[in-house]
Amino acid sequence: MKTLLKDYWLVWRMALSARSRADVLILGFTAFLTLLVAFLVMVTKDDAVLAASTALRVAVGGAMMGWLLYFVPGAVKLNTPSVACLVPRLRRRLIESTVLAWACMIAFATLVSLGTKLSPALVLLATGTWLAAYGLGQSGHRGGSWMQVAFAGVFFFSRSLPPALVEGIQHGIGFAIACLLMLAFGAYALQHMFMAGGDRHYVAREAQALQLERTTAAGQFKERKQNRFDASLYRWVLARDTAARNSARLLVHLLGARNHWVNRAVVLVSILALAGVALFIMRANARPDTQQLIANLGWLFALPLLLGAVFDTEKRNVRLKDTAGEQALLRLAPPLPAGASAFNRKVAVTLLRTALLEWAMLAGAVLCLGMMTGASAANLFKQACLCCLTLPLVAATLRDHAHRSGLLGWRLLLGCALSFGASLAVGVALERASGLPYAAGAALASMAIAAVLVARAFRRAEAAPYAFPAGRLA
Amino acid sequence: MTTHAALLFSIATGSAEPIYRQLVDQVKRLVAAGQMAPGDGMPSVREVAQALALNPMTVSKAYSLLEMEGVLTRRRGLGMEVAARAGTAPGAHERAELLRPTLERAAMEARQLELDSDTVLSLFTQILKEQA
Amino acid sequence: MTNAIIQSAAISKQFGSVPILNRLDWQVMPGQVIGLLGRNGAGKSTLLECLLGLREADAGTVHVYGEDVAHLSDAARARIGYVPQKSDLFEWMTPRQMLAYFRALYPRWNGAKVDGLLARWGFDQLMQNKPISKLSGGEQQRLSIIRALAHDPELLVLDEPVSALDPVGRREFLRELIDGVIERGTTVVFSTHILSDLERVALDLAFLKDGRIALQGRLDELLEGARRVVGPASLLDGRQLAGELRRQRTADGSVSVITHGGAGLAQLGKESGLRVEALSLEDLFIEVTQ
Repeated sequence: MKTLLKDYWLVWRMALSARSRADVLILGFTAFLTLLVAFLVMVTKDDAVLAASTALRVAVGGAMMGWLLYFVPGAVKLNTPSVACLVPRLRRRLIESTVLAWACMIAFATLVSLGTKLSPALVLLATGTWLAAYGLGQSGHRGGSWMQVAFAGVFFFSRSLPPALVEGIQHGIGFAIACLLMLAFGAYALQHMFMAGGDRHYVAREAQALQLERTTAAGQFKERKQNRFDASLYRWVLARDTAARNSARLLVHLLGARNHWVNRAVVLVSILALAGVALFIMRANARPDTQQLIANLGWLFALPLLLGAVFDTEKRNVRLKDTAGEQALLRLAPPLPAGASAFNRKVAVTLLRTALLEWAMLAGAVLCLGMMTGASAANLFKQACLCCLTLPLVAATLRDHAHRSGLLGWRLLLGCALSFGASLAVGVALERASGLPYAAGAALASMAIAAVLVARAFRRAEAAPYAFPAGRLA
Repeated sequence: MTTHAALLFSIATGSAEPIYRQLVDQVKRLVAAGQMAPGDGMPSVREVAQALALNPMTVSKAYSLLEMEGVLTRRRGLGMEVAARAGTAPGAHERAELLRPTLERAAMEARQLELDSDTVLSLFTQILKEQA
Repeated sequence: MTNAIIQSAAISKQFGSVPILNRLDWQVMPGQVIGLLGRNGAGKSTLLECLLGLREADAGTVHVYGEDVAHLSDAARARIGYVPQKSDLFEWMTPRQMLAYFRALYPRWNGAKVDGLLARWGFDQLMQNKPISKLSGGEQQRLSIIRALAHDPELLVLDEPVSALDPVGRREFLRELIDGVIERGTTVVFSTHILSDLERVALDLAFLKDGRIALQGRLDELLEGARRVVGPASLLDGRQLAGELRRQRTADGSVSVITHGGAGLAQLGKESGLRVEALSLEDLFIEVTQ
């Protein structure tokens, strides 16, 4: 018995150590949440006992949940093929501790829900299923993350489920069947999370590594695998550029296959085509006032495209940081200019051109969408001006690459917010002063900001050391 | 009057003897043993370098050293060949000199083992009798 | 010394507070085939990168072909071939695409040599059209070498070029180095841990230790000159031997001295109680770099 407990404790610590200072994070966050909930309950219900009991539930539940959320990915990471096959007892202990943790969590959730208006049976089933889905997602299962999303969807739209079904699974036979299904799902998840060697295990480890990479900040922006069409398109572009021996165009290839502007142009065109077809169908079949609604709100569809500009910038930054080896080879290639300032200028011009091209494509796509939703000319003009607000982003990749490389992160968002705010403020002021529509004023202000930033970046590039290899002086 | 192939030679890396010296000693032993007769052609520097994966300069250095010591001569346009010697067979004295490095090593080990020369010599005589 | 291909003077570099290169002077003359040796983490890669201008040294100057490496002209760069330690570069391209890419960047390109090497080193049609990320480490390294040799460079700098190759691969690489590179008088600088390859092909050696070139010279001379003298402390303590490099006390109280003045030590060998041993390259490496 003692060795069993010791084993569990060891497994627990090992899995949690995958994330440094996990304990501090969990306890800190739980404490914060507890205090917040207690405060809110006091303020709204003014009942100290209720507040205390709710706070207690939140504290215990939050801590358990936090530890579980860190434990599961850590445990999955521990289960390498060699460990699973060769280290005695470890895989068994991993599975047992996961099951124990899940059981505790389900029990706690069910108990807590006993006093509330949520149905305990539903809570039990929901918690169990969600935990299994989370485990699957963390182990790189292809459908895992989708299952979590689908599950959340089911939960939030439970009103639309047939009430008979919802009633049925809360009592008697229905509940028993539902529980069995949940246990089966849990078993499937466990079997996938903690494999025991074999080819499947090695393949799954690769998927897990990819999954883990995607959860890190920089991993979001790394290049994914290309599909066949993208690959053949890139092959054509690369062949054309190598035949032309144009060093500027060849430099752009550093940004990778998927990020090449030709590939992105094709992607955008296909998105537009699909959207166009969908909108056409909607407009053809809808009532006039719906049509009007679509026309007026069409610009909302364009917002995600604009956010794409932020995404693009970060992608470029991560890319430049990762390709330091390739950059070393390009430094030694004859056609690129000698001397740091000439070299930096060429790099800056190339990056600027790429950024402007991508911005233009996004703006064009937004306007096309606008036209397809049947927006009025004034509306289109407003959308065009809104596009101009993201123009300063083109300067975000023009950095002193030798010293700074990698994600901009919150600095980028802050810069965006400041730029947007300043432009809108100027636009409003101009409108008040001269009657120019605020959108146009904001667009002009953004263009000015962009010009200033780009000029400053070029001046900095003249004086800076060689941009490539990036990040070596960091 | 054969031309020898480069495969006649072998070298060992990781020894305390530089490679050029290994080649020199090998050629001397082969000539002394009669496997390479006077007038035989030597493989070209390039052939030896390719066969043994050596820097051609190393081979060239070995050949030059052998030329200086009179073991090889250079024929114009035809590469190196084994030199003709004044007496047809190398004398016992020259052959004995080739044995010197091995005997020096044996002498050092004998000293480490603190054996006196009589013991060593009788052991050597016994071994020679066994091998004959 | 004005016709040295690489001329570096007093290079210093530190990462944070750790000095990696410490007022290092080094010259590479035309046609030399020189091996750079050092422990893991001694700074061989950093030194090679500084020599090519890929990293800025904190102090000191480097000139390649007479030009400051911070401003290498096109002509100079067209004569340099570099094989970096990391070989999975341009991994989203296929080998064919990557070689075409570099062909577009270099004025001179020996397509016949490239095709020959691809065929001899096991790159069939199928592999030539697979993304580089899908190739094994050895294949990636071989490709990296082909890329560096393709434009017939006059100066070839290789950073651990064969670390992932099996013995056949290494032998093939040596053959190509001898036939296609050394025969043409190319200057070769390479860092490696595989001493057997070095013995075959390198004529000069340089040992990097504590941020400086601790020992350099012709390989033959170093091997012939290096000796280990072992004896009781009573005989060796306080006695300076010619060309002494290192002195060490062994566990049983005797002293071991590594020296470089081989010829003059013949006398010592005759003294009773002292043992003079020749050193192999591996022994020399271990002794010099410790």
